Amino acid sequence: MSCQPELVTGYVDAALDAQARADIEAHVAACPGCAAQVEAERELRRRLLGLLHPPLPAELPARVQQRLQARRRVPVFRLLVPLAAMAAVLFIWARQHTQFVAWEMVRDHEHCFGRERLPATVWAEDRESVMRWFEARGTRMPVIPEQSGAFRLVGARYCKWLDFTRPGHVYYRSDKHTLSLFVVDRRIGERTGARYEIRGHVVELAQLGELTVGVVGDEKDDVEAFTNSFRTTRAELTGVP
Amino acid sequence: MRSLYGTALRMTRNPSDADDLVQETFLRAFKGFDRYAAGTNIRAWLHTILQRVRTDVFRRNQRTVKTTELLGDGPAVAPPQDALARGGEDLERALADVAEPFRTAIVLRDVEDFTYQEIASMLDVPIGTVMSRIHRGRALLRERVEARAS
Repeated sequence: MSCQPELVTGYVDAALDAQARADIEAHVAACPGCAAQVEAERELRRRLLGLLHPPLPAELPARVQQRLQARRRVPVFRLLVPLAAMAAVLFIWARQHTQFVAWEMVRDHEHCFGRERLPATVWAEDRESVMRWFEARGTRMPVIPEQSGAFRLVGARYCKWLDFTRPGHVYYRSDKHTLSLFVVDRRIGERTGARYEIRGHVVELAQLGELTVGVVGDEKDDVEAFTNSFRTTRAELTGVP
Repeated sequence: MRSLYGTALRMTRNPSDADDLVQETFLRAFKGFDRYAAGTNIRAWLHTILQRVRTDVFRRNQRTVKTTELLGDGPAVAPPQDALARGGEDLERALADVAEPFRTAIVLRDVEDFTYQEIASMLDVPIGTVMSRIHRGRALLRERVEARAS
């Protein structure tokens, strides 16, 4: 067997299989050059194993800890992107959802009638004035009632909803109660009508062609009566030649 | 951490680079702790990460304008005080003179006492290559030690 210095290194490190180890052992016993390599490598290895670890820079553990802690703090922008995406999905879902729209109507109804003075932009008791006011601002309006039972038309304004919709909000008042009519310039949901009770208010939604109207009141009977009179008004007016 | 820093320093021969490598190694270890198999040698696992970090840094430096020469001969870093106290100064200086990748191979085998199998896994090379590098590294180191002695 000729000299194989790399295998002699493997022999020194006990990294050879049994057969190779036996072969090298036999060779080393007979070869002074390889025997000298074994001795030299063992001696070198002994000295190297004796080397001590250099001392750590004093600040290193603290720097590692600092960077680990910094990693744990998620940067704000990494939270904002998924949050914005979630908000967008929620927004698209909500504006087509009748329950969300009903909830917005109640919120607006409470907001307007909860104030000391109604925040109407147009004050009028006749429907023509109110309808003309809206139409002059590009909003298609159905024929609205001037009166329904004890409720009388008071005025109107545009509202601002969370989904940036700007529906027409028409105010009605009786001696005891208040009532809101909302006109939204788009269809909402698949159903032609829906009724909800939200925070003690009754909400009725109806589709009128490409418009959606909503009526919010305190009593179910009032809301029903108003919705009926709404239909009657339309029928009366469309019946007029 | 001392073992990691010692290896990093002997590989890079530069305290600042060694410091960076160790920091990055711990960050990656923290991030990938779920990939650590409980019960296995955590020291070998950390050293494996150290070698990966070092490879990445080396590649990144090659892509940027200037490269800190990790391969080939360079000025030897001053030996650590502990080694001086032990009279290992000449050996440390001779070791620093050994070219890469042979220096890393003998640091992992002869200073850190890892097995061929562990070193092969850390450096992502076959066991035959590990044996060859250790053989060449020891031969180079012996030459350097003798040159310093004479």
